Amino acid sequence: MSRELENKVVLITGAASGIGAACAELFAREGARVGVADVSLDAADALAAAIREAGGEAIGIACDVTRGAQVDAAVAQLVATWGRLDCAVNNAGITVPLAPIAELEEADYERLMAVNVKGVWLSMRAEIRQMLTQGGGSIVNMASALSHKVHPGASFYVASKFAVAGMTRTAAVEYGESGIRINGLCPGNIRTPMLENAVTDPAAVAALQALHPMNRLGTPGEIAQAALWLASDRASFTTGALLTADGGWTAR
Amino acid sequence: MARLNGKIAMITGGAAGIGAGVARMFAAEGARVAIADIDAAAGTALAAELGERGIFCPLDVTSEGDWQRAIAQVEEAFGPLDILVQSAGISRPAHIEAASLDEWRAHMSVHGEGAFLGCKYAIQSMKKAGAGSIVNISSVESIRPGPLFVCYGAAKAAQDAITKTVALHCGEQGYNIRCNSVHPAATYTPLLEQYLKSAPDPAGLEAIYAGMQPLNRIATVEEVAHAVLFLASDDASFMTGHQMYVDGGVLAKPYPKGEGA
Repeated sequence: MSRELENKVVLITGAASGIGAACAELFAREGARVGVADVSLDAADALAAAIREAGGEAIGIACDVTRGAQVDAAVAQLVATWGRLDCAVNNAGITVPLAPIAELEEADYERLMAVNVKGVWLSMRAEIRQMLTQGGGSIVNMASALSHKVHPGASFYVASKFAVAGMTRTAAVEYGESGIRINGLCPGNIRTPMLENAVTDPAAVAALQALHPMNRLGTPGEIAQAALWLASDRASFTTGALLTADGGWTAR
Repeated sequence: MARLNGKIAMITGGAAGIGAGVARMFAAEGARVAIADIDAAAGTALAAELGERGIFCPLDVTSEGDWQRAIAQVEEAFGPLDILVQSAGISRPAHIEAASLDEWRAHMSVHGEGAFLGCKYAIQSMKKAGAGSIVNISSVESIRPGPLFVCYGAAKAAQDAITKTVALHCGEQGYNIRCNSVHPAATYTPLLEQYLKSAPDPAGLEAIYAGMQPLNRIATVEEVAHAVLFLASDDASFMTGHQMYVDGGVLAKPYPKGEGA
């Protein structure tokens, strides 16, 4: 069976760990040429090297998604290297310490919104500008089950993921006729380094698991399969959708 | 690598339209497929086309006895069910002033009772298999029903509630049985071709249907079948209770308009 992203050029942000890394590895196995973009160039280079060692094609790219010039440069580097940009997974995102609204800090708001919201906008802007010159493309924005639900203490994160969902659907309507598909992917709680650093108490992990009717955390690989589906031509009629892979959490 | 190697699937409404497209794609991906339909001639012909991978089961989805017999027939032929796709449906657009109570009951019966019985008996079989995936074909009309879809939209919304409750129940019981729905917009099925053919200006109506979607076209059966395949397969192992839109973006569109909207 032929690989489904054969020779497609893909940009993945926040690609050095967690869901982004799982996407980079899976997409590369499916034949994609992957721009592994991360705020940490060392980590991006290390993953790109591991992908190349496994027989794939990848380059590491330094990219702070809160800086438009860096995002534009990342797209330009992929175009310079491989000539085009077919798909993107805008995955870079952060959390800040949980606290109720009245206890939250202004600096944390600005830091989180800059990465999770402004970063997705800047990424889409650069990607869409390139895709318009090629007649199409597919963009997957990392939203969250918290694009649908709330979680006490996580109001900045929730607000940022509602924003990603809204931008995703708006952009899909704006660029549908240009052949650019734009979808959101909404994971539940996934066993990633970000989650494992934020939640260490076993009782708290069990409580997180219990949010999902399937009573487990998802794996980065399961989210990568969903991202692959959206990015690939199998999803050629899907745009403006929020694909939810959350063990049933939002159905509750 | 085939995505459904060794899986046993039953597809209601499997003799035509989206159901038939799903049956062909599933067989090509390694599944054994039971085509369940009220149309014995078309169902038998498609089963024959699939060769040893296909059988036909007579099924009126509103009949509890039919469901029991059909699932027993699949278990006898292939083994317990891994996958159920519920694609059987009817759609006869009418607004609230024109629709009769009989039409309401017919839509509710096929989509509501059909999904209820299908999930009920599929779960029984899937528990023997140890895992399973149910995919209910719903519609954009359950999410944002247009004025002509009082019966169809309500019936698909009833089906959606069954999808979600089954997902929750199976998850909470630890069954490893997932249940999701797929929501297509206008798709080139025999039903759509029939609408188009009966219109005074078929090409004009086709353009109206296409223009409703930001992608400015109508879906193919294969595009919908790909979504069903994904949800049915182990690639979607963390997905349950989800309403998956395959709608060309129409549900994201703020001002839908036009005939049939």
